[in-house]
Amino acid sequence: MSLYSLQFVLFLLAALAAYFAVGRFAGRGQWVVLLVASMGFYFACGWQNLFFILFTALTTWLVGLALSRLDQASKEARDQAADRAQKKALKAQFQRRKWLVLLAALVVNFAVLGYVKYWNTLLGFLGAQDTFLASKLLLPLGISFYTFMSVGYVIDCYNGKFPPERNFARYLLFVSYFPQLIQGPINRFDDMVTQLYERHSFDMQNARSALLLIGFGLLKKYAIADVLASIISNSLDTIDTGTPGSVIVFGILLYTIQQYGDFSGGIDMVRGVSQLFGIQMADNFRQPYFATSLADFWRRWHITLGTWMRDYVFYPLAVRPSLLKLNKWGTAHLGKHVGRTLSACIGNVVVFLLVGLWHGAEVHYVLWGLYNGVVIAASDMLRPAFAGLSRVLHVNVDSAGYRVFAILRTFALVNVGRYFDRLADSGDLMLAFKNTIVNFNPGSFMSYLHMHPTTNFTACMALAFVGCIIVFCVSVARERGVDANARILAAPAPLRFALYGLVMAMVGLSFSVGATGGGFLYANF
Amino acid sequence: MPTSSATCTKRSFAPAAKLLVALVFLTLVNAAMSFAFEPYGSKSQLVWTDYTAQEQLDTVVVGSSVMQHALNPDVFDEAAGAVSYNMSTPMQTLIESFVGIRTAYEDHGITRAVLSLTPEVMNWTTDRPNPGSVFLTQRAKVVGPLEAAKTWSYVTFDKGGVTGPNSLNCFLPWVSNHTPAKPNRVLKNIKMKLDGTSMYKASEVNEPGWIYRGRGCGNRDSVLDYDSDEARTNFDRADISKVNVRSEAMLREIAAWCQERGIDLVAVGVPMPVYDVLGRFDQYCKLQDRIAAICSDAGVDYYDFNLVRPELMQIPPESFCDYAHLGNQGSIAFSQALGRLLVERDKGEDVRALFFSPDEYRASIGYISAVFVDVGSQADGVHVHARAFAGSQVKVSYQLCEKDGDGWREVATWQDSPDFVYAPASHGTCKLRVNVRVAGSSEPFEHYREFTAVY
Repeated sequence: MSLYSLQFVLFLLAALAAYFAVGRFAGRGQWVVLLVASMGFYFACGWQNLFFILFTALTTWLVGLALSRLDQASKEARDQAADRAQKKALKAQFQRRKWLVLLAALVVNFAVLGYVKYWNTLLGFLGAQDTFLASKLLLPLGISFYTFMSVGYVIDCYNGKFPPERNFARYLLFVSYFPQLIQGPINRFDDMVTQLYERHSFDMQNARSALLLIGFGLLKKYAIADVLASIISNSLDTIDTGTPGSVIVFGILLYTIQQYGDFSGGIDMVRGVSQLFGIQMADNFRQPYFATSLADFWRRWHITLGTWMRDYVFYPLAVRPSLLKLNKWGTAHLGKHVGRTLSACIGNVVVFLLVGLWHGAEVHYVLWGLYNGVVIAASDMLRPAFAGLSRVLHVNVDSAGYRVFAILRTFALVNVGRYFDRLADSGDLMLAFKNTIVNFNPGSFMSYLHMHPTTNFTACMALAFVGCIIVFCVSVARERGVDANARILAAPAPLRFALYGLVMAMVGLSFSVGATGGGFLYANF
Repeated sequence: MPTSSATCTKRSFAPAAKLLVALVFLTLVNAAMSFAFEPYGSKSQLVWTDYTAQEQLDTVVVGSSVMQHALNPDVFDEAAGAVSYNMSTPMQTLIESFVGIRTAYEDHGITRAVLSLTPEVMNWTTDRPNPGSVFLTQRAKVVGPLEAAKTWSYVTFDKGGVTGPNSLNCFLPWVSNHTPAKPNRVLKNIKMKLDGTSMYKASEVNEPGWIYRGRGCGNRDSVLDYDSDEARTNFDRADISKVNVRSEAMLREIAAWCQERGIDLVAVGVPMPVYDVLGRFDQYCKLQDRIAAICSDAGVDYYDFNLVRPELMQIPPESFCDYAHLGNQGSIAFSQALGRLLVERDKGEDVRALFFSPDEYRASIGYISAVFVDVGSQADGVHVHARAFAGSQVKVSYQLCEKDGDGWREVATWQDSPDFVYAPASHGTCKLRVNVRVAGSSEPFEHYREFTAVY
């Protein structure tokens, strides 16, 4: 179900009306309306996929209960134990059982995700994509997102972070809450549990803020990302020896803008939709292009995936005895700094390799993940060397100028990574890097674009430019700690209305000049 | 001092009043955008405005721009003895054609509908119904709000238009229907709306060279230049061999609806430039076979005028004014031919004999229609693959030249192979040209294509 459609608007209005009516007249049970709406949404997006989400929800819910039962059994057994040694043995025994249950949950759920997401790609590597082994299943909507959310829930239950949800229907709502199904964010159970089930009354101020967020998302998605799509395709889809590096750099820069506009715009829209129900979903972006290092970028971009990886992969990995032993070895042989960062570096490389695989099983995603992991690991490892260099060159790393330099440096590093992300064919990728370096050829820039014409090129670029200026201004304000939404809502009516009119005009114009209203780049994850 | 109940009332009405003000404001912005961007004198506006002036009709012609260019009702009526109106509009979908037929039936009780079936209409799967299309928006202005709402509801809810972005954009009419996104065109559009320019004049200003012939038909006097980029194709990258499910269902629905009302539905394929037919000939034939099978199954006669024999209609290359449309001369020939065909058909004659089979058609083309080129750069130079479109009996020779001052320098002599590799001295751009002629011909060339290569 497309967010930008009458179907979704009618669905949303009906859900909101039912939600607040139930809240007002029944006083409780609003979450049931959300559950029905979420199931309805998922059904409308392809009823066959209901099986997958129900399977994931059911298995992880049961595992949460089983882990809790094992905790209880362990406690009871230990209470009856004769001595400390027996208690310790019992604890270890139950811990092992819990671990096996957790492992089973992880294997089953990641196997389902792996099958629908990677099986055909794997067969492609083996040259068997046209055999009977090939899966005809389409990727169920949001499966990566809800699988990660469910697995996070199970791991948190395993770690005793919170008691498991005993009501399956309530848990199913957490997994299937419709605004998060399209492209995330990857919400956490403890962040959502109270909000999803508590009573919410209609609040005009909240609704205005939510609508503003939706409008901002529409602007980013349609007036920036979508209008650039054809220009990017024409710049990057037919790379050969003659494609000037200048065109490739241009295409990659636009792709960087498109990615942000599409993904963060979509997230703004779904967060706004959720906010209409009074439910705040996790934020996924914090002005990522103002990051001063690649590590900082990943703390600002797709935040919920980053924190998921940090909590459930990086930390457990970094404290593995084998890696701690490696740290000790590093300290002894390579110095204190290396020893301290060695496990973190390995953890980063592994995490980003997984992030790459999360995007897809294709080689270019793996390379993209490795690129990010290796650059972050190397910058960690070489931090003392950089600090020394700054001292030698008398660079004031606290100055505004250095901050701007760091932002631009990070932006360049991110853009290099986009080559891996955008160019799926390894040959094209190598050729693109080669042409960028040895055949930049700015003189042929315009000729090439004329040979690969884009309808309404100037209008698309102008629209995206104005959109970027608006996004930049809002981002600067947010970076300075200003609540841009609140400021706009408090602005004089003529100014506000002018802004609303501008957003409406820009979104409409985007469809006039090139936007197709296609899906989101992250919708197929 | 206001009383507490007055304060309470004020409080409860305040949000509604604010919402109302916001809606009024957005409506005004929408109206202003429509005024600025909705083109004055669009082809759909002409068609619907002129339609309201028709007093009597027995035949309606529907389809996309190819039919709007192709069928001149004055010429057709004379040949067929009919009173017709051409309701074709650019990018008209089958749903819109159906709405057109229904409107003409309800208004005039028409007895015949001529429906144009182009590869675009039948094959393109992106044909999601657009409740805010130009055709429907302009129709809404002449049929009244109730009828417009009924049609909107039909397209939106019955035909699945509710799922796409157009389901919202239909409330912003300037999104689907707008002048080219250039400031001078927008200003000109506003000016024409304000200074009393007639709708007919405006339509010719919007598209210089396009002439409104009346009763819905419009086309050009100019002739397609087969050696320039004007000679392009819509189907270069698309697989046009299949009929999309939505179009098939719609065609069957139209056929059944017409049968129930005793309307003689005739489906027609309008001629395209020869290179466009030959360029994807196998796919084209598969598509035509499928269209013919669906029509036959639905009880509709289908005639593909690309395959028409010269006895009924001559289609010389200069019949076309651009890459897809017949010019005025071609339109006159087509309108006469279609009129004659229907007269013969009404008499019960075997009119199928007036059409070639696909193989006969290909053999009947004794010339090169045009040449296209595919260009790519590799380490050893610029790779050029020329595609010349000619009949099955025609052998083609190729030559590659490079721009040299004001002239062209041969860099690869005449050869049978359409492939060339040319290595420029250094990276940069070079201007090249492929010449083609029938093998053994003494002509310097018959067709050519110039292009820039970046190496």
